[in-house]
Amino acid sequence: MLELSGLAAAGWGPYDAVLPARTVLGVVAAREASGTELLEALGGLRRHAGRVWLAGRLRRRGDAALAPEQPEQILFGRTAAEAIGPGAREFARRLGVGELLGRPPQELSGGERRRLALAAAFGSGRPLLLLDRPTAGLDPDGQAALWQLLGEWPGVAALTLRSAAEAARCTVLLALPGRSVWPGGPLSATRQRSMGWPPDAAADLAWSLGIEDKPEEVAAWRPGRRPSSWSSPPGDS
Amino acid sequence: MLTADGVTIRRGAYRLEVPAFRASPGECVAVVGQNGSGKSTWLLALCGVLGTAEGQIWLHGRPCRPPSAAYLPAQAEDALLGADRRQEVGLTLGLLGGTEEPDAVLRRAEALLDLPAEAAPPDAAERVYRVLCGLVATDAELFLLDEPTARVLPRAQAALRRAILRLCASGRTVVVATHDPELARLAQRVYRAAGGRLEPTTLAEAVAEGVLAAPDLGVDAPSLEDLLGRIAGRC
Repeated sequence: MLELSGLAAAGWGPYDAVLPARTVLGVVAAREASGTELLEALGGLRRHAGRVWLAGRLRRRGDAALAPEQPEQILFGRTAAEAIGPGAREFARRLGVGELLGRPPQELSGGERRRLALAAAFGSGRPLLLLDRPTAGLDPDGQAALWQLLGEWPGVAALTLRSAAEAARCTVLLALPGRSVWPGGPLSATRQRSMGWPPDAAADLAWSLGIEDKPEEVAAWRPGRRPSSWSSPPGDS
Repeated sequence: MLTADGVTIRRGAYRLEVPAFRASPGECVAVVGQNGSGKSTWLLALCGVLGTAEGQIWLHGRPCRPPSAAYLPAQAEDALLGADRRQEVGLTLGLLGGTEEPDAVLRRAEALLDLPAEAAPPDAAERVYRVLCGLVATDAELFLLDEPTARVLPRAQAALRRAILRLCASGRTVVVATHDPELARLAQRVYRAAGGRLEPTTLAEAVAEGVLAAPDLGVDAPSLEDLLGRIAGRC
């Protein structure tokens, strides 16, 4: 179980959440660097405010395995097998790159390197998986294999997302603020709420995933009115 | 017209055979295939960076080379020269020995591509836009784009599709390597790399064979309510 209390950094948070084992946490960030920052903060790989608890104790740096957006950053070794470590062979096979383990990582294609980095994270034996845009550059088979592995993952996995379809496959979502454009110009969160605009998280989610672009919904954003398709946030009457 | 007949590319132990490849001015051509099938290898060969072991690639009857061919790598930052769009264009012009005013060239490039406003600090999408501005400044006729939409959010994917359509409308040729069905949908021709060969196929065939996901026709799109129900904690 992963517990966040007051997790925050410049531009996002604080977030409080309790994420049980087998949670796939989707992170949607309007400003994409925030998503990467949140993953790194979850893993204790960058400075942040607040605390992260893992299985009843403070999370340590070695608890998290990060597959960065650029797989080259973690694939060091003369061969792919050396680069991903012995525990990752089975995951490499599941991700369709089991045959390539004898080759040097730099000879492989971008998608193959992405699969290797993912295999390395899954095979690291660490309970907290942090995957930064893991589906970028993967073909449909690769994506299917990734979602299959995530479904079987016993710990908590957090990943930054690229689409609404991916968001729908996660058990829990976090929407990070940071949009720079808003109809009528930027407004403070309080002002948005007082005008009856959607709650921040919802707006950020919709904006990032491009869902709110439907003209009738934009037209319905008037003071004091909330489009019927926006659900009320808890505790907001 | 871009033509390649009976071309073979060797890259280490890897070998890609291309019996016949065509792309006309104003056309968008998609190259699809699984990871490691040779899509990027073919783009590098088209732009003249990888030599051919057999056969020759021609663009309007001349060997295909930069600056007539412009290349966007899968990781756009690998191709970045400048710290913003203006610098990117200025440095590109400098490398090519151009004497034009970078501001004017940038304005033309932005108008041609209809790009969103420049974002600072740059995100993945802005890095792609920036490289594209530089490539347009080269006056290249052939644009080789390696998975341009793979790393960006839906909004930027749409902006890139629009930019590609506008490149085509201006008479340039665009060849994209992609796994993105929405992008492949723009293409007038689709080629599939598999088993060391690049052969013509169709969008429908590529989807049926599982090389491309089915395009999002709005049928299976999750609703915002569904997604909102999953938002965690106090956000």
